[in-house]
Amino acid sequence: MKVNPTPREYGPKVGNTIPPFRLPDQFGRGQTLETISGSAGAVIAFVRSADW
Amino acid sequence: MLREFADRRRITYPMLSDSDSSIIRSFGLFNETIEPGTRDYGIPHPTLLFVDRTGRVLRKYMEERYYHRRALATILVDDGIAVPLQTVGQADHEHVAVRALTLQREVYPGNRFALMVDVEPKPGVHVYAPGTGPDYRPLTLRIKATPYLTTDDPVYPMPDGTWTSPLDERVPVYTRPTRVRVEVALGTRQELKPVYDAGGMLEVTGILSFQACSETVCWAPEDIPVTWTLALLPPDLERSPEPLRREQSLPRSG
Repeated sequence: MKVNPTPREYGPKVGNTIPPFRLPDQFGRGQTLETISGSAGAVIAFVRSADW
Repeated sequence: MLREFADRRRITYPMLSDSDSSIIRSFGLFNETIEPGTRDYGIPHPTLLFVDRTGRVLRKYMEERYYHRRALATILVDDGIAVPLQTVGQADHEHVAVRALTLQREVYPGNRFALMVDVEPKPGVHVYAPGTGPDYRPLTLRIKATPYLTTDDPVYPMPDGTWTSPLDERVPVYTRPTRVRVEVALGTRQELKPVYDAGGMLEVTGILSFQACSETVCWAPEDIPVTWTLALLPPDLERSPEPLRREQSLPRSG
């Protein structure tokens, strides 16, 4: 059985706080953690460009 | 570019553009293995962060390969949300009943998802759990290697009882329905081409090994094949219109 290697960890660890950010969304609106969060917070997915 | 993509895929959640990768860098997620000047330069290590409203990381998933994506149903189950499981195979054996379960019957290249197998000992029967000594054959699931996927080590639940042997050893066992979980990560669409060419049904096969015993009898160890049959769907290959594409002349780094 081929077993997946454990991915090397990069970025903020569980329990740490992410750095602040402000970036434009697909409508050109500036978004921050505060503006994207719901009542419980947010899910942030880092993916490569939508232009592949 | 993002607008066109979001409209095409009917995405309504915010898609943020980090065009110079500065936020990716500030998060420490910049992929330094990509050659500067190539098309893929600037991409992050694939990462999912669950944060609370203050930005504290509650959960985190990283993938080894840039094309691996954790399937939504698997994420939700990890979060304790009840997602319906579908039975894709079952077998009633003399001493145990076995069911192959999946959270989704349809999968895409690069998907990472959980598969489960339920093992239910018949009344009065136990099977050995991991952690037994060398004299016992514990419940083990081995996924057959194929060029189409890689797997994690299976995860076994805690034993639900102990059995005391005639030699007074206390041996961990399962006496109740027991769910073994294994995560599978599919390859790229190129790697999966033979599956598409053969009609698009992906079979994941495992061998479940165990030894069933009652209070008085132990039966011969068994190896039972377990198969999950899933539909491999074609990936979305539609690109954005050419005028919106970036860095068209740059070479790809693969």
